[in-house]
Amino acid sequence: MHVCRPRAARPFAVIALCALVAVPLAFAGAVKAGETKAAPARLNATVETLKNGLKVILMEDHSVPVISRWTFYRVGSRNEHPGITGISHFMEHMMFNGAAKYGPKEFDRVLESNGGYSNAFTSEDMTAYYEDFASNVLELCMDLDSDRMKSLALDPKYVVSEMDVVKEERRMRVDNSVEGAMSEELGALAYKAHPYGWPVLGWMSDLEKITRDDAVKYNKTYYSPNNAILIVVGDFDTKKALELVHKYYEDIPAQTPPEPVRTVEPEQQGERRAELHKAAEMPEVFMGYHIPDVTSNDIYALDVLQYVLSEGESSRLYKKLVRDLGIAVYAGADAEWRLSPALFDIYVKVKPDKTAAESETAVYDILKDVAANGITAAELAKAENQIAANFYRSMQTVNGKARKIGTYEIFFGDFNEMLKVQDRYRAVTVDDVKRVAGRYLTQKNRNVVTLVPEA
Amino acid sequence: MKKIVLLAMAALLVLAPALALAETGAVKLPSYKEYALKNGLKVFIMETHEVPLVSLQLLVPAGSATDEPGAEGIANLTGRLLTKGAAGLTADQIAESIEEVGGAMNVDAGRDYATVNGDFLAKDMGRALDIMGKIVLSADFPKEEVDREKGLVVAEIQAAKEQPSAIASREFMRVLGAQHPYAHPVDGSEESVSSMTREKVLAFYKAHYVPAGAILAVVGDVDGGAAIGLVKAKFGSWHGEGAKAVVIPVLTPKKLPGRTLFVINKDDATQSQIRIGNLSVGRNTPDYFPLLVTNSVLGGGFTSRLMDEIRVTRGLSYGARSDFDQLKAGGLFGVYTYTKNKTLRETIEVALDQLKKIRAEKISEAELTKTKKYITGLFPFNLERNADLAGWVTDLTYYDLPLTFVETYCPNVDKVTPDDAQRVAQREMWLDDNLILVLTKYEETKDQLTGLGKVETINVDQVK
Repeated sequence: MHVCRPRAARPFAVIALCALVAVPLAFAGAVKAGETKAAPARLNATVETLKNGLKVILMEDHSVPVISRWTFYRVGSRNEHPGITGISHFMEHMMFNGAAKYGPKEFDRVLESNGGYSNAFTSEDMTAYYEDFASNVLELCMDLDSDRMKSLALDPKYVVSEMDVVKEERRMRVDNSVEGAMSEELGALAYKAHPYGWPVLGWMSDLEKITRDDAVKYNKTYYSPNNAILIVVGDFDTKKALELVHKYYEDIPAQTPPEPVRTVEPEQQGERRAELHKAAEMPEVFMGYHIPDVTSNDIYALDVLQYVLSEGESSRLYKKLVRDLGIAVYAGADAEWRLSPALFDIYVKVKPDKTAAESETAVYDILKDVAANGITAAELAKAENQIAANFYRSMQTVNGKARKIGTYEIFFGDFNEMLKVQDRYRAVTVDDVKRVAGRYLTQKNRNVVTLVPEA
Repeated sequence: MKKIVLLAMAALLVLAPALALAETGAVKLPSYKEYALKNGLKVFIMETHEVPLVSLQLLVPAGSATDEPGAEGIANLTGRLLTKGAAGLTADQIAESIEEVGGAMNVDAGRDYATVNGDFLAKDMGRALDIMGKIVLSADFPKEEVDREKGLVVAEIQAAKEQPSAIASREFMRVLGAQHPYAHPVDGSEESVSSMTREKVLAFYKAHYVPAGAILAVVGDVDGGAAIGLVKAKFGSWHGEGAKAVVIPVLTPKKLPGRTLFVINKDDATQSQIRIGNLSVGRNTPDYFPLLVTNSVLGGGFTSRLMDEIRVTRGLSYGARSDFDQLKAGGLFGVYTYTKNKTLRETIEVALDQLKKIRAEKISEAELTKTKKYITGLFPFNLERNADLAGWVTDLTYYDLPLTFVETYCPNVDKVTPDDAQRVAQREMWLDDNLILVLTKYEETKDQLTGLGKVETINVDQVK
């Protein structure tokens, strides 16, 4: 239930991107559908930063009598170090296991008995907790969430049992999953220095050794109000909600701000390859090319390229590998959005009677073609239409809107950036896509993991 | 194309109530209009105006339960081939026509029915209905596409064998369902799919893709009058010649004395999958709400008994749940969890204890109230998206349930008593005569698994 998102896991790739292409639903100022008008510079939300540093963003949406409340923390696996890998994700689990006012098991018990649902996720860059609930229980949710921000118990008994739960999660998602194991292998291959090289779930040997003291220290450093963003979207009154925020969160003391991540991944000097031998029915190939962090303007052209390569059955990878050549069961791509320089992933599940080498050649032919000849104007228009439609799809729920606000806060420090992002997508040209393909998707810059199926 | 979308992107999205919250607190569907075309197609048009999108869902009673013996998976294959050539358009032309405007369309076959799902910007409703009409009324099934799609489905069936959870769930239904048309996986087996031909697919299509029994929902930011006009233009000529009546035989839960332990061996498994359950009642049971609430107590939310005992208290698994899978002619009750090989028996015992307890002891008013509040509090979240609304409309109509089901949902949940719960638990959650299915490294866990019931074992490569 309390999910985490392992690196580049296939089912999440498209969702992750959808969550990032966003413009808001509630603009300040009215424009009728169909009228031309530049998007406004700001969203119609109320923003306040408390004295303890907690940033609060409230956006009313009365379309359904429900609310989604989120706390985002600026912590993920990039903040860890060898010996405690996986601790961010472990802390995500422990946040549901008791604090001063609401003891072990009480968080979910109290929430569910009031008609609410909670979940959370951890990534390389962030950890986010949310509750979805009927409009009348907002105060309770603030009480529950502020309690654990203020006074997380980290009860020794639950530290032990919850770590067992996390190990089962790891066994499910990685050890007994071909795609999970491949993703982990690619991360370890592509990063020599940066923390993105280890899995969000952590190495099993670290999960065996992490102590309660590690968790206490980590909690104090990262799960403080000055390292968090509180977001509420839905059917509430802003003035009253702000009073509740002050009542429950204002007295939580700020902590010394965490140290920034120091390590920078050095430039890759040549292709890196690895094999994974594992029981499997068919070969598989995962590739990763180093790309810049999310603040680079090249991200938008890389996103367009991702759509051209893998969105839908008219995309280049699907048409060539699945349809024309019949090599693959599926083929996809993902341009990662990250705080530190990241990867452009390409993954192919190869048909049992075909080889990883054949599919690699087919992928490289496509990439070479884009680098040499670019994409067509029609492909660019299609990608932009898909990006626009996917944005609206992800904005149909209060949960989706709150998630987007938080994600933009983590990546850009200002959720209003989501408006500018739309302009940046529209500014992408066919030449930009050609240029980023030529610059980043090169042999020297690539990491390739091939799966060797064993009986 | 690009220009039109830019206008939409810059537009303000007017926030309008998608759901009316009546004074009583009842959640209702947005208002809609219902039509019946002369050819028998039922149509629902529902306007929502929060986002400039439209969802289309066409339900056709052509699920895997209508597969002929030996042709398991033909409903799925036929559905997948609809977009691979129609009205003279090639698969590539159809995909391009859908995707160039940012649209999506897919066909999804289940056991009772198949759905054709479209998701488009609202301004493209005409295009969406045009494509949907073409692929449903005039599918071509080019031979090379049939062969290509067969190869793909076979490879996907093989790929599913890499996923322990998927194998366990496929086999659980197969073993419980025995010879019933619900028993086989929707996508069939490598053998059955390999034997399919264009002629067989065409025959299935002619027999089952007919307007009688089909239901179309159009939900979104559209003008209702324009929508029904387009629907009539694109689907009015649909005819039902060659229609074959579908009667799914009743799936009768026969109790055989004693428990069966079905073991799927997987040599590299470090974690064991567990399924425990029995055949049960279908979707139209008068006990729908007692079953919903009772199941939620056992294995619904994060504070359900199974989650609490298996995950929170003992750390045996990351997940534990139970559910009733209810179909037209019968259903299935199942407990779903997994644990490391070493604690396989312990986890099975904890789950069995919980089945025993929910049958033997009445649920307290307090626990029942907590569960009801959880279910009713979250219910509005099931009605936020256009596609969810379209899904409710077609699904309820297929099962002959009124759309007022939605507004009476929460009151009906509230009516369930401890006596109701115990009655349905004793009848639909079996204990001594159920099936336990595990996927495990048998060599490592064999000693733990003694004394649970009659043992049957297969190796993972024998899974069809």
